[in-house]
Amino acid sequence: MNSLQKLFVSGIAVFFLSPFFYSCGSNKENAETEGTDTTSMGKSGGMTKTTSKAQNIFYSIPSPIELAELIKKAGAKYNKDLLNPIENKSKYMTNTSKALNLGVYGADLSYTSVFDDNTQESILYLGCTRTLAEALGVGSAFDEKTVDRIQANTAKKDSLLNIISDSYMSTDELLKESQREGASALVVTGGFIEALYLGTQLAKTSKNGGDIINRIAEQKGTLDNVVGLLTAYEKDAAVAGVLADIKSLKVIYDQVKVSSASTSPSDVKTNPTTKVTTIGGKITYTVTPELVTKLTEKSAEIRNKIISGQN
Amino acid sequence: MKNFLNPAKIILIGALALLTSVNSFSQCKGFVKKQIPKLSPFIHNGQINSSVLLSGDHAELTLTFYSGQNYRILVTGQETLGNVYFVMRDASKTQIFSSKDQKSDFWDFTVESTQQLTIEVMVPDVDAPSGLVPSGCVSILVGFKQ
Repeated sequence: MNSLQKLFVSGIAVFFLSPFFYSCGSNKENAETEGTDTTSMGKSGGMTKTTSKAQNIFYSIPSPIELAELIKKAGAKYNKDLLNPIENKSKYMTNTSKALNLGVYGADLSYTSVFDDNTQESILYLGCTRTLAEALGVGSAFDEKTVDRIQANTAKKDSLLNIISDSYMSTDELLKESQREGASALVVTGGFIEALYLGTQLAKTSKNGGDIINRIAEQKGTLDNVVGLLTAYEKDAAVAGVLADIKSLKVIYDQVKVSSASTSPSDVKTNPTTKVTTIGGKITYTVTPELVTKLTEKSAEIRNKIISGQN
Repeated sequence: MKNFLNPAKIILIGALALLTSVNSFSQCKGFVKKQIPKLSPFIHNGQINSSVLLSGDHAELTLTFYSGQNYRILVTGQETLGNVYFVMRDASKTQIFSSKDQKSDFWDFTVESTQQLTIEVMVPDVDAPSGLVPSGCVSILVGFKQ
C-alpha cells in the first residue's frame, strides 16, 4: 500500500473513530515539538500527515494526594481551619463552580487523609466531594460502596489513599466519557489551586517553611501543564474565565528561576538488585521572599474566588 | 455516483461506523482498567491518559516528578499495535531511558532533583496486508510512593 492509500484509509478510520476519541486532554490543540515523522489527528478530526513534528496528546497534573504528601513530608502540620468549610458546598450553583469545588474538596480530602487521626474530617470531606459529584452527574465515583471502603480502611493509610485515587480516576473517567473534558480540566484545576493554597498558607506558619516554599516553587512546570490543559478547552467560556485567573498566577511563576543542565549518561544509574533507576543532576528553583508573598496572595485570591462560588 | 449516495447504504455505513466506534471506546476503557493493578504497590495518580492510536502514531505526556518520591511509569498498548514502547526525555530533550529493548512495560525510577520529564510513546509503523491501518488503545499510567 503506498503512502497516499495508507493516508486515505487512515483518514476514514479516524473519521469514524474521532467522535469517541478518548484522551486526557489536548488532542484538540496540538502542541508541536521537534520530533519524528508522524501521523496525527487534525483539529477537524480528520487525519493529517505532518513531517518532523510530534503530537502532544496528554497533559497530566500530579494528584492532590501526591501534593499533600509532599507538603506533609516538607514538615507542614495539619490545620483544619485552612480547608474549604463544608457548609460552602450548597453555594455552588453553576457547573463550573461545582467542578472547580469538586477539585477543591478532593484536595481537602487528600490533605485530611495523608495526616493521621483525621478520620472524622476525611468522612466529612468525602461527603462534600460526593455531593458535588452527584450534582455533576458523576456520583457513582463516590458511591455508598466507596464510603464503606473508606470507613473500613481509615487505619490503613495506603489503602485509603488508593481508594481516594480510584474515586478521583472514576470522576475523571465519567466526565470524559460524557464528553465533558472541560469539566474534567476544571476539577483538576480546582484541586491544584487548593493544594497550592494549602502549601503557601502552611509555609507561613511552619518551622520548615523553606522546604515547603521549595515545593511551591517546583510547581512552576505543573502550572504550565494546567495552562496547557485549560487552553485545550478555552472555547468553553467557563474554562476561559478560569484560564485568565490561572494565567495571572503564571505571570508570577514565570519569575521563578530554574537552573538546570542536560542529563548526562553518568547521571542515570540503575540499582541492579531493585531495578530502580535514579536520575541525578542538580536542578535548582530560586524564588525570592517577595515572589513568595506574591504567589501566596495570588493563589489565595484565586482560591477564594473559587470557594465563594463566583465562577 | 448515484449508487454510492444510496440512502440505505449511507445509513448502513453510518451504523457500522457507530458500532465500531462504540466498541473501540468500550474496549479502551476496559483495557485501561485492567492495567491499573500493574501499578501496585504504587498509588495511581488518578488520571487516565489513554487514546486510540494508529500504527505509526506518536504521543507525548509531560509531567513533573518530585525529588524524594518513587515513580512507576506503565505504558501498554493493545496487541493489534505490536510492540508499543516509550522513551523518557528530560527538559532539554536528552533521552534518559527507552523501553524498546526492555522486556518490561513499566519503569521504576526516582529523581534527585524535581523536574519535568516527557514520556514519548511510539506505536510501530506496520504495513498491514489488508490495507487497513491497525488501531488500538494505548494507556500511559503514572504511580507514586514515598
